[in-house]
Amino acid sequence: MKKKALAFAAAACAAAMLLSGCGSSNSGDSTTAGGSGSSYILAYASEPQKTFIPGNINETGGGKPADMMFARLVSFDDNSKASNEIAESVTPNENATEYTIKLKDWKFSNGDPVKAENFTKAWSYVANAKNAMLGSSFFQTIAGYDALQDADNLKGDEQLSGLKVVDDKTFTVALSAPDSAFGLKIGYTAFAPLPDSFFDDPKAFGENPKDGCTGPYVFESWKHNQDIMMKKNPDYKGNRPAQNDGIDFKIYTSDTAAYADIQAGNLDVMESVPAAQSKTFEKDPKVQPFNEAGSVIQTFTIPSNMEHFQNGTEEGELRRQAISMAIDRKALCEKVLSGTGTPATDFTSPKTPGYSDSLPGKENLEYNPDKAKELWDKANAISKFDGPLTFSYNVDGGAKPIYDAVANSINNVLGKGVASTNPIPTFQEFRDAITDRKMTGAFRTGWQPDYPSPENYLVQLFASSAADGKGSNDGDFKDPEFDALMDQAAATGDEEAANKIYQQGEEILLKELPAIPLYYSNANGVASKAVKSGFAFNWQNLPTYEEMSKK
Amino acid sequence: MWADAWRSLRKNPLFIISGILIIFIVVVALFPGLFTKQDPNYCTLDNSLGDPTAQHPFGFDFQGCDVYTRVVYGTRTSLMVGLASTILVVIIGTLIGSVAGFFGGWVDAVLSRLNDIFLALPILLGAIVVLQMFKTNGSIWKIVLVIALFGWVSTARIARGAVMEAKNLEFNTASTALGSTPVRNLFRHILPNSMAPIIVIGTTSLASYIVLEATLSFLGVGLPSSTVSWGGDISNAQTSLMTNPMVLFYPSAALAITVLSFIMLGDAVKDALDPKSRTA
Amino acid sequence: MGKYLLRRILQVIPVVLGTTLLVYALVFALPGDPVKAMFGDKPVNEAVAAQIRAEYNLDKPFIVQYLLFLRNALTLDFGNTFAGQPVIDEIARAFPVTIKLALMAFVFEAIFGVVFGIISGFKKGKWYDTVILIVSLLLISVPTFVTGFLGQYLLGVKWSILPVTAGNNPGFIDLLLPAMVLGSVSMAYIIRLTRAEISSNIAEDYVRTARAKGMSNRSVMLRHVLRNSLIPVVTYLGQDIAALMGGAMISETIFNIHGVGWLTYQSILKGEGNLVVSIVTLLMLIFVVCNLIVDMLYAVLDPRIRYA
Repeated sequence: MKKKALAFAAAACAAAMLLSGCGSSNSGDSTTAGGSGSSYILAYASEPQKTFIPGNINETGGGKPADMMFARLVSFDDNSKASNEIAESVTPNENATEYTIKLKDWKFSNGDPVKAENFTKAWSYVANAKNAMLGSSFFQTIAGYDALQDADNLKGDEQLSGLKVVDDKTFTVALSAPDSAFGLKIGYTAFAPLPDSFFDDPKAFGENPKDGCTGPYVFESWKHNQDIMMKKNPDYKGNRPAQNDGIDFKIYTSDTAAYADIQAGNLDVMESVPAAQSKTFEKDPKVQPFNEAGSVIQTFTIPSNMEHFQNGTEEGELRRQAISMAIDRKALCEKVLSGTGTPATDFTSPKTPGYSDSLPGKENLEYNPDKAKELWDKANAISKFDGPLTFSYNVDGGAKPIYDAVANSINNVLGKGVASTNPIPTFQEFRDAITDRKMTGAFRTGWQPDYPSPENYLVQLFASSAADGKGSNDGDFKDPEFDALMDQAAATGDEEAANKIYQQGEEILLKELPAIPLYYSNANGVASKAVKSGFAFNWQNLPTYEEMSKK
Repeated sequence: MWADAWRSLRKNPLFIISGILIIFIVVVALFPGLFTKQDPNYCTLDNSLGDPTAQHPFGFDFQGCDVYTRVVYGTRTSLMVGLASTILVVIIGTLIGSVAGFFGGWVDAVLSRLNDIFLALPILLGAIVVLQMFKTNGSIWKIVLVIALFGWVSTARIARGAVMEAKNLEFNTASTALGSTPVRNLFRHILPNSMAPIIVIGTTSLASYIVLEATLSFLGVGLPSSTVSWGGDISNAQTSLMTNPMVLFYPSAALAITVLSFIMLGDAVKDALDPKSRTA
Repeated sequence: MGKYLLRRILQVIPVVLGTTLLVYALVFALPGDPVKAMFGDKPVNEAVAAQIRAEYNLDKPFIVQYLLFLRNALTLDFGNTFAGQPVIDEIARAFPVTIKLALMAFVFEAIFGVVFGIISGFKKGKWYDTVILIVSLLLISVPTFVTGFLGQYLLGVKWSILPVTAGNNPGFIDLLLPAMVLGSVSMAYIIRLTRAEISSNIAEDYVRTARAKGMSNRSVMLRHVLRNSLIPVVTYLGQDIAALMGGAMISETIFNIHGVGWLTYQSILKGEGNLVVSIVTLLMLIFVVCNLIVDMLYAVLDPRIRYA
């Protein structure tokens, strides 16, 4: 989710001849440790922030391996299309408040069959606040969720009342409100089934989940701060069969180190390009590049009730549109991002079902200095604003060049001193200021989807139900008309029809601009020359590890 | 003694060259407008990494700012941060170190252990906490304060060692025998004789502090990005290292020339204060 | 001497208490809430957050947190990281490699720093003195990330002379480049210091006396000038080994070394109080030992310095 960051040749030259062998030793040792030779894919990774309990993983360090070890009811292909994985069928009732789920015959890696109970117990465990799982909120639309939030009076094994086991292969899910996207939501990692042995000792399972794997790979080992290894699951019969013998996630301190290792052939694949290489990686003869528009959207949010920028007032609307039109997104993507970003034209992403690049109002996201100045002056005629509008971002995420350029662009168009940047040293301080609503200006926001549906982008970020700390609507945008459209879409069973309604919602956002879209982060990265086939990126902007092969 | 020193300084070519350079740098710092008519904060991506032209002799940086103008305008901030931090560090460090080395015993024990504690503190941790107290204040003095707070430690250790050594030299024993008080001895004889390593560390540190300002700003705890400084431009140039190394070169060169001037000045002053090395 | 040593060892106790309290307070004062940050861009589930806070005592007042940490530390239990790993394991993984790296950087800067400093100091004003000055100036003015990055690109990627990154369980060769990058700035300081000391000592009376007594130039230089020039150099080196261990962040990050500098940086960013305090305290103990050794060396280098 977060992308992270001459010497004395003479003395070393004498030793040069000894070294060529030693130099490659650190790539060799871990593959041989796996005992499977060189057809393991060596992948870039960071140390997971939590252990491997699917419902407790909230960042890519643990998320990438978990995605391939724990299969879910449905899976998504590279174009975000859903198809059944463990599920035989997922059937909603007509207003999408109850789902009936039938399972195929699948096995955990320890040989136990995957039963309906493995789902209901796993979901209840994650939802139950007593167990302190970070993914708990994903289950909040299931009936009985609220009863599992009073942690002081819970033991941890209470079950969600909305889940009913019908037989070993069937269970039903009752929702507290209509949700036509639930059939996609269950593709998120937190919804993975867990084996019976998990509940005996969750802690031990998190460190060593080798008994509970259902995905294309089975856990092998985890050497902290070194690597995470997983081998091909011979019993896997889902949609994402592995084309290699396994994956060795090597843990790096920085993307620059990883890039150098790919150039040298010590690493096979990484899903980002360090800033210093972004201008050159596509022409680098030592690597295979990949760069296409992806599913992550980068925006900044101006709090809805901020003085001079209030949503629902004429002045606020003028200023928001003026700011948006004062930003040269094309130059930003070409110059600052060196083509690793694509100018935003809506609030979802080009990889999201129902995406359109020609919604009415998208001209508000296009660079138009004259119009911007005109709108800004109009707003100043209503009420004078002396500025500056500050742009806060967390420095440890590498956003500095982007916000320097955004502020420069605005100042060049609207006048000196209108915008200034406010770097915040740590993500922790940054998020704290956001969740406590202490931000006094614009702040960086962005979204990597949990499941490919416009609902995930729109409802989670802009609906009233997600405002005031109940969801990710960090600007507290509230618009009854927008909310009504979201509810209508949620109750619409047909995906095409629902997506049309979501688009109508986006038109409101494009006019009111609760957040201002900047660009879509491209799915970009590099692979070593040793990778012979299968190097592409999936709907989550992550490499298609399972399709890669060195043969 | 001071008159002697001045007389020898005046004749030292090292002093003359460094003096002229420093005066020039100070003039640039005080009156940047004399050297360029452009706005260092006017940056547009249309010019990103653009080549030098007649009006823009050093070309443009990543954000499309004029590199020459930014080098000129960065002088003031960098010089002030560097000089103020160095002076503060040398004063605090020398004072604490020499008191510890001179008196020894429990005074030394307390001051040296304080030293140990500060040496262990990660500067990032201290900087984030200290600087958030001055969150809204964009002035350079908060940076100077943080640098001094963490920088005095090594100067103090050096001063302590040098004073412990000088304390035992003959002239000290002699002047004590002649009835001089210890404190008078410390300031009249011992300190001047211990200055050589302190001057070396001080002048060399100047560069480190200017770079440290950049690191702190880079980590988000330094100056706002509208404040132009060499350090800031050096760390911004990081992303262009592979494609346009010259963007990194110009501010680095300005920094190196400044530091060289002060190192030469330091050497000249040191030689002047030490009559023996003058004759050598 | 024995009494002096004992006193120095006893002094460690208040220093440890002071350091831990200060660092714990600083981490506590870090703006932001580490538990909220765990949820990333997602909404914070307060019921879950409260469970996590309770697990790490973050719901208690500062002084209680600190005392609990101290009490557990006495039984060598330094708590867990937010990722659920024992702090002691993290430290056991990070310190060995950093100690190796810091020692190599130390040897590198000590040898090259002193040798170049001596050459420069004895031959003040010669052309190679100027060359050495310019090279050391460059090392100081160019930030470490640039030296590191260029070193990695040229020696590693382009010419394949040295390993590109150090990787897991690095050996001597793997750490050579990171150690040189790490030690390069300090080396410049040591060159400057040694040069200044030599050039001022060379003019001292005792040198002339010794020469007048008929001692060979060589032994005057070695026995008197060098020995008398080393006190500030030894002081600098003694405190630098500490700085090398704690300050290896940039070098470790570039060369993929999961060492102390990197771990400290990460744990500050994440607000991992127990981990930061434990690392800093351990570093501080190492400094205390280094400083003690330096003070002992003073007495060896200059017999007039005595400790009672």
